[in-house]
Amino acid sequence: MPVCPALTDAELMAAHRAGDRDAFGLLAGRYTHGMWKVAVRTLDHPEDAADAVQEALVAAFRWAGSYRGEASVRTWLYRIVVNACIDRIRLERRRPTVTLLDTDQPGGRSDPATELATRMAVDDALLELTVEQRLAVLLVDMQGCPVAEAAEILEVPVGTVKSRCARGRARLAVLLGHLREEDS
Amino acid sequence: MTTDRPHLDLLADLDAGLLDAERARRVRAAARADPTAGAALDALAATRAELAALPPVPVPPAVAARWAAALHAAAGGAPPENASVEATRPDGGRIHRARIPRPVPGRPDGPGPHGPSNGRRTERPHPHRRRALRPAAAAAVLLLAVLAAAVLRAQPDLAPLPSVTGVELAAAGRAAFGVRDTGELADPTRRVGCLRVVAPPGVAPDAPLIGGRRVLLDGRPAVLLVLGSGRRGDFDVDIVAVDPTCSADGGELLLSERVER
Repeated sequence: MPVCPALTDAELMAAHRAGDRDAFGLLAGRYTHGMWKVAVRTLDHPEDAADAVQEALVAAFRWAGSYRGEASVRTWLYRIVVNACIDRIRLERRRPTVTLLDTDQPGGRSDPATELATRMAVDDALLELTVEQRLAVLLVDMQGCPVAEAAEILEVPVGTVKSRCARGRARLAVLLGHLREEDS
Repeated sequence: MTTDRPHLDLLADLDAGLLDAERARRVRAAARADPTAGAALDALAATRAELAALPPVPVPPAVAARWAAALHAAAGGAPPENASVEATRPDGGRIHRARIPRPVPGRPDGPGPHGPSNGRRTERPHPHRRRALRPAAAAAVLLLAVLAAAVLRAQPDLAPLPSVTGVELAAAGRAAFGVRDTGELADPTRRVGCLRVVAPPGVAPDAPLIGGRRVLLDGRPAVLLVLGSGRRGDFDVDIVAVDPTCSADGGELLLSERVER
């Protein structure tokens, strides 16, 4: 019997582990956008981000048996994609050569030119942060994760996430022009 | 006792909720007495709002298809570095082998950030694993279709309105951080006019928009607005639900709730 899309994450995970044919696709589909958002802004390279999410999805698919339900499925999936991003940065230490301008943009929301200009400015500024600060800011401020969940994803104490956010935001406030250098 | 102008780092600690209550009270008092410190807190709030308001980067359909193909390969037991998957990388760059993190013994829920980073690579599935995956091979095509459909459904412009209930308001609001799908209320003038008319308790009409999403709230079309407090040193957010046609000419407040960040 096909699984119901309204099932909870835990129920879908259990169904996947029990061999259900639809469950993982439905489960992954709920979080691929969030995983993509974290990866693309951590790596600032769409192809690397696509690879990182791909690695994470395949790892989650194959290693679903290691999921013990102690963290939410979202936290677990984000942790795996964060792993993949950190891995990539550590292994290659390369700077971006392709900007987010290359990705398709949906229309009909607000002024695309203004949005694009803002996004480029923020994306450039994010790259000035340390990877640790960038991930904390991405998860808490851009992804809307509660600090406690970000701490679970990054496997650091809550205070460390807050501290990384604080340092990152202070730097960004200057880089984004909200604060003059002399005021900082 | 904090009497001098608070340093930006200290203000950022306050902004991030890093200070204990007594220290936070003293720093907040010092900031109130110093316009420069107040401006710095405003700058930090504006930074958070700008980050939250950044538009989403949609998943390109070709990328979604590539992920689905990789899962197809995984479900069928073929290694994910399958040539047909690699060939889809449009910049000609070398695609990494899909390094599958092994679960770390004793660590809850498998791989941590350093688990797969120790220089070890899981080159191929274990032979027994390959056999174990065989029964899933028949499902590979279906899995591909389900994932692709799920990814496309999750594209903000293509998705049906999510249904939420009143008790889920806070959770739905948190999920709307950074989402910019507020329909007509994306227009700041209209939004301010709407909020002035419906007057949610404790919410300034010009409160900064952190995110928003069109939803079905208890079966009824609504727009969730996630609003910053607009008050210096106050990091709570208000989740406000209004009818989608709300404007300065009239509207209806459906629900409003303040949540801690």
